[in-house]
Amino acid sequence: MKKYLKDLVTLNGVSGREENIREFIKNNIKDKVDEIRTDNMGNLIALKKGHDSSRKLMVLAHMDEVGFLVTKINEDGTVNVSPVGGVDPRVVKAQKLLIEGKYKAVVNSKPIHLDHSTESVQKYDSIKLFAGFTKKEQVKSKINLGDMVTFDVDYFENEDFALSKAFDDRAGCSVMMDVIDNLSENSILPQYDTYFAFVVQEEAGLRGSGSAASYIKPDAAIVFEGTTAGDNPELEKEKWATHITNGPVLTFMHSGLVMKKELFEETVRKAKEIGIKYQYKMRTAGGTDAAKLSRTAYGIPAAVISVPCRYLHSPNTIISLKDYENVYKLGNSLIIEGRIAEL
Amino acid sequence: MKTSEILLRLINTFGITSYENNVYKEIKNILGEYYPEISFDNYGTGSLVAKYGNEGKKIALFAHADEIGVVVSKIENSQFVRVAPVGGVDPRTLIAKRILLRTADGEKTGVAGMLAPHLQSAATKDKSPSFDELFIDFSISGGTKNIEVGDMGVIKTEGTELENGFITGKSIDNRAGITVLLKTIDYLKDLKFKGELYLSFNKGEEVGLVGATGMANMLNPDAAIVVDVTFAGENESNFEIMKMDEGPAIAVGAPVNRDIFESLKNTAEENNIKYQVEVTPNRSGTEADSVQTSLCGIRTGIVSVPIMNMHSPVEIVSCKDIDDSAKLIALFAFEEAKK
Repeated sequence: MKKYLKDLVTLNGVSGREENIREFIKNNIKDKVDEIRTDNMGNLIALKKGHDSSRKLMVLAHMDEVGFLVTKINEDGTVNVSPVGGVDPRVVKAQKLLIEGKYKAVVNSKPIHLDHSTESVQKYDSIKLFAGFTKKEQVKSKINLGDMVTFDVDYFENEDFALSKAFDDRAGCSVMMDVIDNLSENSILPQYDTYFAFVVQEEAGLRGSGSAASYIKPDAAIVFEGTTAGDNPELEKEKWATHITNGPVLTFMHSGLVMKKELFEETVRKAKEIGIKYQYKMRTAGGTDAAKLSRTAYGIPAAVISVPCRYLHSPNTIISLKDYENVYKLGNSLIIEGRIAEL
Repeated sequence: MKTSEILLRLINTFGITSYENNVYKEIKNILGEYYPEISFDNYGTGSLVAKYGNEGKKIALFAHADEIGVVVSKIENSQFVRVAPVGGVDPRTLIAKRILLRTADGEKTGVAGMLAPHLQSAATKDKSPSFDELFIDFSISGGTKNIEVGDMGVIKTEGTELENGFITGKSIDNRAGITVLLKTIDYLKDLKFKGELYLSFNKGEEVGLVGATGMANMLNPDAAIVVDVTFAGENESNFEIMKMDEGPAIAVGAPVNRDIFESLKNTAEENNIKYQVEVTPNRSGTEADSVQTSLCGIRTGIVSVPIMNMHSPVEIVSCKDIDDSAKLIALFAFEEAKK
């Protein structure tokens, strides 16, 4: 387990630029599944045949991460960017970034001696990247409009915790790869035909999962996600949303969707049955691909199981590896049993 | 000495005010590798002095060795602490960064957090958190059990080379200045320098020019140059903007003796060294403010290396500017010793 997590979060791929993640996943699962295809959107869909082909279960996680695209190249050699997905400008100031995974760049930060208004937010109109170029002409031979920009951080793990960018949602991708490994290494057949969909463009507005689901036409789906944990001293306990180390987050409702009750209850029942810690998402802000699936084709019901993440959508997100393991355990047994597809 | 190598060694050293000894150790290592004959002393509050040459006029170069950072001011619970700034830290530069803390139990990595945007109210969405509202999360390194109030830390980052030889990292303010002092010896060794040159690596500049004051009293030089960094690429709108890769900034104004300014400028012109003039009408914010007024008054000049993003973990400097500053100061010292 967790064989791929570090590699997955270290790879770079914002919405629309998932190719490196897709290749990595494909290379590691292609010999372990019955069919594998990439659709027109770039979704990677792998079929693991079950005992019974009368029903289909879709499991999905998104491959993309939040980041930026280069939107402007300035005369002084700096470049402007605009976020892909929701990146609060406050987490961007004075960060190290990577352009196309190749050029190291840093984000400007006006010296405190010249800017005493430390409560003001440096917004995207004044965020500029410096990569070592001092003239527009130098930049143009190396960096192009539309180039992908990601956070430049390494993966750090200690005891039961891990720190990195992009756990949202490479943690979900990693859980699915771990399940595929388990099925393949132990020659386990899931109850129903199970489609593992590694989808694109979630962060850009749930733009990938619909086309994957249209192809699969599943009876039901399980979405694996990374979700916000607000358990910090600046927030009253009742507003925490989720808490790291309290186990998989089970969602009854989020932005744009109230889950189909039977599916939600099945995730709770299973968590109790296997005896793991679990928690409910206590705030309904933020959405997942489940909202998109409910509006796709005939309306596909989905359950959502998430790894709680502190400092989501920042270069330094913290997860509990125990939570991760329990998301895997819960997901693994739900997939093998397949009851979700019967409800 | 290869400028980028020395600079990277120095900026990757943990040297928040009161931890300057780590920087001193690295300075001694570097000078020891190239100039084993150079002797060292510690004076007063503990600042380090290196001496080069044994005759004639006393010329002192000052550069502060400390860097800004944070100190643990409150332990909230088993995972979170609150911090206060040491020196001029913009709380906005801490957000979503890793913090490296020195504790009795060794180094610990934390993450400076703020409230997740989707959990904030509309009122706080357009406001950056103050030190009161920031917190450091140590869940990732065993929690707060071995952390004490008073433990100090810096933003954790590795110095990195960017395209075209620029270096980025923390504490380029003022390890760039330290590097200038070390490189000065490289240029002086080829000249027939007839003077006593003191390199004074000072403590506590970021919290109020502590080290340099004592060192100026102790050394009482015939001439002093304070080497620090200055803003590149931006300035108050009624001031000229200093630029990287355009050479050292030579200061003119009250904290600088006019003859030293003239002499630095002439030396640069005679030797085809690109330079920029920086006006400091009143206090300079450098150690010159205390050095010049020490004892009976010390003839003082300021040479600054222009850097971008000062007091952030992504300060940027051009190694060429460091080399040109060192060359200028070496030639100045050579001429000054002859006077």
